[in-house]
Amino acid sequence: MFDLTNDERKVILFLAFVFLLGLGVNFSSKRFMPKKTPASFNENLGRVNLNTAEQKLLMSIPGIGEKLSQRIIDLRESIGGFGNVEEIKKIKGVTEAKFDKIKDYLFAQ
Amino acid sequence: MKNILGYLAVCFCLGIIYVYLFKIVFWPCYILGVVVITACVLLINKELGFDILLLVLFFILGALNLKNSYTTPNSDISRYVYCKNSTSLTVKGFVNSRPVIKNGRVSFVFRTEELQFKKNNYKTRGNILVNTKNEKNLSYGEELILFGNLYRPYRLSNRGVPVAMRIKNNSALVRLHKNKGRLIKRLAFYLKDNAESVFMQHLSPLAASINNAMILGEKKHIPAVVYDYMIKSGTVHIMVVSGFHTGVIVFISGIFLKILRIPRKVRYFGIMFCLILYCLITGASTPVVRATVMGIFLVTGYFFQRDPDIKNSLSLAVFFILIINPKDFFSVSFQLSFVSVAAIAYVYPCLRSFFKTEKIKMKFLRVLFEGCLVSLAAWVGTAGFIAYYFQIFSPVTLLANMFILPLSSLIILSGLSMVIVSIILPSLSGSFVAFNEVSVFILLKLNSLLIKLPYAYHYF
Repeated sequence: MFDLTNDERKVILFLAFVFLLGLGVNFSSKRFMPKKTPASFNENLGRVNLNTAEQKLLMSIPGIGEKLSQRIIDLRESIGGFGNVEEIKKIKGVTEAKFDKIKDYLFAQ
Repeated sequence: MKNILGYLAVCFCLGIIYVYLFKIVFWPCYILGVVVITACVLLINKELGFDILLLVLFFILGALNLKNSYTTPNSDISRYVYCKNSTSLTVKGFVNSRPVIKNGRVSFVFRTEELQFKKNNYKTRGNILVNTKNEKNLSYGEELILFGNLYRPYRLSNRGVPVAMRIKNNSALVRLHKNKGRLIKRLAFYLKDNAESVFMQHLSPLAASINNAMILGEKKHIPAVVYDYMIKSGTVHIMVVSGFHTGVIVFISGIFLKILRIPRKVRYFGIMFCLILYCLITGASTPVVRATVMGIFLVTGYFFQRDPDIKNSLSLAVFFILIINPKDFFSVSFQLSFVSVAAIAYVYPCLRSFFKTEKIKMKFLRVLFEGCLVSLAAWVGTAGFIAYYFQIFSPVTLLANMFILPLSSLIILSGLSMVIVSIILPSLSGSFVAFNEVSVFILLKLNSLLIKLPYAYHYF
């Protein structure tokens, strides 16, 4: 009917076999994969990066207003970026109590 | 028998239709597939037996392919959407599309990789559609952490993503300042942005919107009236990037590479690269993927110095698209795109021999008449589908295509040339701009005139 040569038949069968195998593997991986595979999530999730955040983003953190956000940016520019969050304690107005309040929202990278 | 691939593609599609209409269980069907493939190996030297089994095998492969696509992975993000309660989640991933800004809101497709749910972290996969008001300067590939509510949109968006996320506030979007996008896709979006800005800078808003649709596949700025006129005259297909555009790209890139004196065989690779790039620029919709696959196979044919065959290229394009996503078979764009090309491939030769076009002595008249027959073949192929999906029957299409197709080809050529020239020699772009504006004006005038003809179109 199709007048295929023996080599052509072999090629078509090989491709069909690979596709069939692929379908089986794909279906099994979807079906039998555990629903919840633990992942190494970023521990800074949901926090604001002190080294890249704009003023508006810093101001979205409870406890940081316009003045403090501006001071953070000024210090960042003067020291060329924060090495760790503790460094914001140098800023005027960041008391120990204030730092405890805002530290969970911040990270430096 | 020629065009074996065509028969195999038809059987593959029949398998897809079978699963769409009837319920099957994957594993028994899979075992049947293994049995049939084994029988094929055993009967490899038998003529008829092998051929029939091969057709059955492709039917089963089509059926299994659709069944497999219906199954979502256990780790898919959509499994975390619950019917009653909107779920608050934190997800990590990257922007997987070009962000679209509309009415002060930014929306983009986000490829998820990890999620945090009830203080536990899990690996996940799948896309979500994200809407936010705050960040407007996002780009493709940017890695983000988002916090928001997952929900299923009431109406499926045109991006075909079944899950969406509403971002709560400014601090719910954290930019990780890493780009995870593919280089070729980034290049495609960069070129698209540049081409769009060239159109916006040089052309009037109407001409820019028409050029954006015809060349870049962005139809959102076309006025509704213009679109309506095109539907009535049956020429709306020129607004969809398709095989014609691919042909223009092959032509332009071929000439450009020839001017640079690049060797013939290397030039073919250059053309293929340009085709893939253009496919990505226009958003890789079904008609353009179909046309790109066909174009690549035709160019490959030239590379190996084999006679290119449109029917085999079309069948390969069917396989290529349906293997990746078998659900595309039920989309209107897939059906119209393939039916029109299939009609040109199968009906046009019959019409040509029926009207005996080779007897027309004048070359110009013969080419014109053959062009009309191509248009007639495409119209015959698509008329039924258009009547079914859009409830419109427009006999004026035949006449309209004769004038509008050459005009649209001029618009595409001048538009593309304008983009290239304005980057290389901006001072020369003026003449292309004027030509493009005039062509768009004539196109719109002609279209509005044609639909005013008696019995031009009929709504059911």
